[in-house]
Amino acid sequence: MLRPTTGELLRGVRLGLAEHVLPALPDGAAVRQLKASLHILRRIERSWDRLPAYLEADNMDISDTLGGLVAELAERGGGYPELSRRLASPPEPAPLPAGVCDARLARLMAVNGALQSALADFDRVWRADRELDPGARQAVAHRLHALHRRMLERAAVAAGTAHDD
Amino acid sequence: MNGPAGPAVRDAYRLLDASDAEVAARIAALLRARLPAARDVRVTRAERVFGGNARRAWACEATWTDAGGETTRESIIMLSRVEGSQVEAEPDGEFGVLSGLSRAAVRAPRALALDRDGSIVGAPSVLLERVPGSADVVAFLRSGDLEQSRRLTLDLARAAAELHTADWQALGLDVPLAAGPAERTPLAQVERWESSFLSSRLEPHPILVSLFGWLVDNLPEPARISVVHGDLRPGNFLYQGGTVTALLDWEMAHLGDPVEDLAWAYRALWSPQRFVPLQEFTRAYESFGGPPVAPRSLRFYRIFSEVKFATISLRAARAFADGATGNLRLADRAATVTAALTRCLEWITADPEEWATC
Repeated sequence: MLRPTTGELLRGVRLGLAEHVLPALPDGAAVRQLKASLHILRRIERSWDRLPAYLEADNMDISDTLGGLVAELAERGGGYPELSRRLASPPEPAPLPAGVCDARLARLMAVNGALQSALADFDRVWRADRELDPGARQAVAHRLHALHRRMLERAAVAAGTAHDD
Repeated sequence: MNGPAGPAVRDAYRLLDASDAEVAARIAALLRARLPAARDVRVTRAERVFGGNARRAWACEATWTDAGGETTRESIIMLSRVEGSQVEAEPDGEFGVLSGLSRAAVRAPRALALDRDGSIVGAPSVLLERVPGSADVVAFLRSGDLEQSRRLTLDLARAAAELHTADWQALGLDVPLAAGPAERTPLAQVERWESSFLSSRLEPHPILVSLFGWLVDNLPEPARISVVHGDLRPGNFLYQGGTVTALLDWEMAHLGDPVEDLAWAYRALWSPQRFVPLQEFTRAYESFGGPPVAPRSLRFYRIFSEVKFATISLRAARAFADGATGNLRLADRAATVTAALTRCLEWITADPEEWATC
């Protein structure tokens, strides 16, 4: 049961709507709604199967980079030890998110959500750490900037927007 | 700024269901309520016109006779808030700003009446003078008449300079626009959008969190505090030929650093860069009397603009996810966030020549 693939089905639906339904509609709100739907279908068509690999790579990168930063700063106290504990413990099992049927995908999403949350909190902690010397601040900013760029590149590919304006 | 959608906003659907004749009757009722001395108020030729994703709009013609027996004829546009808007704004702010600016040499429509809570027309609404001209953004940005489009872009720089040099204190605009000390308003803008981001996000978005931190850490000192339009861009002004006839959509106006408007006008999605490069635009703006534009401020507000756009996109996506709007153009707006944030990260580390020319 591999064919038609989800991408093939989405493409067929999109082309059918664009070629047969759209021309039959009078100008107005219905046309605008249909055009917006076609745009979304096109994006999903080129990205629908990329989410699991994206999440695996993103989780590994955030975990490694953030884990390294937190480990280096943990002895300073403040909010760092708490972040260290959070990174060491896996997220609690949660119900499947809306629109997700696969337990493994749900697990990857839960881990990604927890890592994103820890990364956001780390940003607040290090920016507020006014005793961090300028050289160390610059080093942290540099490593986070590089991580953010990698995250965005992966997210753009996964969402099918890598070549959008 | 508004709170959660209340009964008056839900009544926008009641307004949407109304016939053009019914809308005309409601506009007439609003005029009677706000112009108590007016007699024989008549509203004709009401018709729905495009008002953008955030509002609904109706155009009409109105006449009334004042206490002295003089008859006024006015082309009017009514802008009404709709549920699930991606922009947090109440019409009374826009009404207050336009009422103040009517006494200044600023290209803005006159404000005629306000229905703050929607109790008269069915949704929070303002009635504005209908200024001649087109707001067609596609016709402008894709125009083959490069010379006329260049004149129009430079006239936008002049219109921005007129706005930013308006004496907001003398116009009494500190009351509707400032929620605190004027010198704190640039920081207040960052905080306002961060608050909107935090209440709209569907996931943590650590890169946006970090960018808000960067904005706070790198806030530039403004050359002056001005009335900032808040959504100055192609599509939000009327034009005839190479002339801007009116700046529109003032619901995000505030006091702040005027460079914010210049950076927003040159976001990639609607930038007039192919007619007038940004650096030339800012030089023209300064030559028309606009406050000096420091390169550091311009970079900051280009990054701020991307963060603001990303936040608006997340708010739109949230409104659709929550069922507050059925507008499918908003459904997938979260997918635009990655590109906006990528630009921010590039500009943070790029040299000035790069971020000033893209």
